[in-house]
Amino acid sequence: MIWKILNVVFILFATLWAAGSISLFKKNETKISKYLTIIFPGIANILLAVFIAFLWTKLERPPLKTMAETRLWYAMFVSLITWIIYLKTKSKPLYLLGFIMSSVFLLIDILKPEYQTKNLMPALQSPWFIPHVVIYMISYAVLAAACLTVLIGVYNTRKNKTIDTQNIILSMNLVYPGFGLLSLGMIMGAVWAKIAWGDYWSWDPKETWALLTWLFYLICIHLHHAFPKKQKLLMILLAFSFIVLIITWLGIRYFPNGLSSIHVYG
Amino acid sequence: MANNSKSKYIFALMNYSKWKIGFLIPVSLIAIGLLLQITIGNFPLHFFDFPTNLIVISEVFIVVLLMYFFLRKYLAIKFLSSGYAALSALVLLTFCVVGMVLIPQNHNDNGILSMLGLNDIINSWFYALSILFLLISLGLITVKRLFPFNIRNFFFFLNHFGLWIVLAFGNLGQADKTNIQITIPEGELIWYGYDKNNEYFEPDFAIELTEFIIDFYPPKLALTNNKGEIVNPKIFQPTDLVKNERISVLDTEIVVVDILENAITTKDTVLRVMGLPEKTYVAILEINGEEFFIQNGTSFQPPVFANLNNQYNLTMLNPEPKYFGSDIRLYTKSGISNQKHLIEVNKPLKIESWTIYQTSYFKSPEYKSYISVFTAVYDPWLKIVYTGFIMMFVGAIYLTFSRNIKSKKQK
Ligand code: HEM
Repeated sequence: MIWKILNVVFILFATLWAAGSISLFKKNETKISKYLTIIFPGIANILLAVFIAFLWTKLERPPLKTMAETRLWYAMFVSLITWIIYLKTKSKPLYLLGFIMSSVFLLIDILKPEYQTKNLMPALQSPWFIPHVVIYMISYAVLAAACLTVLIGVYNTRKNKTIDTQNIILSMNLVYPGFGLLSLGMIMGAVWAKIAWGDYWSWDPKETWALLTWLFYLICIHLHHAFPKKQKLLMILLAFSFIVLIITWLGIRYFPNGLSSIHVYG
Repeated sequence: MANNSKSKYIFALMNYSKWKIGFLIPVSLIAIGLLLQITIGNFPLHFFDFPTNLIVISEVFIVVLLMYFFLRKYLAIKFLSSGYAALSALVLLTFCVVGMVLIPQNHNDNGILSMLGLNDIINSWFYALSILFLLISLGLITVKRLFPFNIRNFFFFLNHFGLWIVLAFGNLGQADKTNIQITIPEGELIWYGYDKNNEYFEPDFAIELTEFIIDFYPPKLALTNNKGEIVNPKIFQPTDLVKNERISVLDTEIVVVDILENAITTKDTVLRVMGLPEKTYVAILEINGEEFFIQNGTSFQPPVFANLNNQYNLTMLNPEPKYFGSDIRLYTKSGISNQKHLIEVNKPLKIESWTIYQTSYFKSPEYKSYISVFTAVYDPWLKIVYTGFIMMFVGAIYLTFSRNIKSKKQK
């Protein structure tokens, strides 16, 4: 039932973004096309937010428990953040990539539906649950935008045979807040884990992967700060860090999720 | 420390390539670590219990200050407080963590991995040395950036010194940490537990479990195949069993006639039983005018399912807990006796220097009732580690909301 509604939401969402993209790449830009470029994804974002709110009331718990549910939030934040960055930088490729990335995550949800349940195990019934997961999702979305930006930078560097410093700076300006949020999410997770089962850090695979992601971005920040000339290395490292992030999130289940079945998604 | 010829040598090397030194230090630390590992075995964390850990940490702290204030002009110290050393220390730690995620951390393995400490990196010498290198370099960097003291450097201090505290006390503080598991059947009084190495331990308190309270979500109907696996949710999504509701499963309409709690079934009769050790439900389903009983599985009875067709069965999933907690009476050596408490998941109980967590529960055929599992933790360094967390937290908020690179470009 819920996932049938998601089909409709997805079609509307993708159509809106696609319509925005068409007016973005229109040959002769008019005031109206500029306006539509911005307004369409805006509506798409609201639509997704409304759907998540609907899911929340329908499930009677925050829809942050299963992988499928976190992908919804992720799609929303990637869409929202790339939209905001577009408003600021007018980067057309980022607009397009943000649209593609958020749609892909929604599409995964449609192709791989998950067993839906209202049940929330006792460990998840905590005030830390929502901030911890939502902050992680925002951080992942910001870092996705950073990765997309750096990919554009790599493309431009190869095309123009000069390093695209502009996009590296934009990317790093996303890495700083993304990394800040990553740290916030991690510390909250640690405090919550302490309250729920007595240890703020227990080196289980999910936590170790999360630490690895954090360390990779930490190295990016310090490489950029201490050795600003090492731009090629930085670009490679930024792209690679995002791969580590995706493994942490989708490959290894990273947040506390239950007691006997700790860290297993629904 | 460094005599003239040595510092000349270092000078030459440094000019040659700082990157090479940045590479050589971690490589030699790993080599030393492996050597120590092979000869001594794991890093002897237990030697570092209080006050040794505090002394070691203070020593590192003081050495760092001395290095900065008196030996700053030496190139080695300059190097250690530079971005090269920072990156090299970070990469070394990252290497350790990569090892932890890629190599199975299986402590019982006795092969070559175990000899090199690679299957228990967290307790290995090279992890310990990499933390030490990080503490020295991070410490020097932190002191260096204290001057001049401004807003930016203040947040720099919060991030870097916060991490320093967490690394120092989080790692060496483990030596004083005691973490025991206490399992108590309903009605019994227990004064002992087992630590992480499964060794007997008596804390200075005892717990009597008056009552274990548990509440379940409604049972669910699932569709399983002949192997007993739940089918893809596209075919059928497990659904709450609610009395008088209709559920359609693959074009078949099913009526939930009734749900009976604390009942068991033998396919054609239903028995209501009081005092069962586990939660059981029987659902009476009507399919095409015919009645069927299904029941979830327990330790004393296998699940009972109904055939939907020759491919699929209707199965009741085990009810999932919605809440659990323990009503306890607490007794301590310092004189508390018969004090009532409720310990719940996410609501631990603090008593004196211990914190007691409700971590789990289980059922065993020997006991009719639930057995509550508690974890009791004694961690004297927690407040200090949390101070580090708070510093990093504030620093992270700054990182999130300050515009880092714009301001840097003005330099
Ligand atoms: C909590 C973890 C950390 C965070 C959030 C962090 C963040 C930062 C930031 C934002 C800067 C730029 C400072 C500025 O100019 O405002 C920086 C610089 C620096 N960090 Fe870190 N860092 C962390 C850990 C480390 C570690 C573990 C080391 C190495 C041992 C390190 C060494 C350095 C060095 C050498 C600089 C350059 C200092 C300078 O230019 O004066 N940091 N760090």
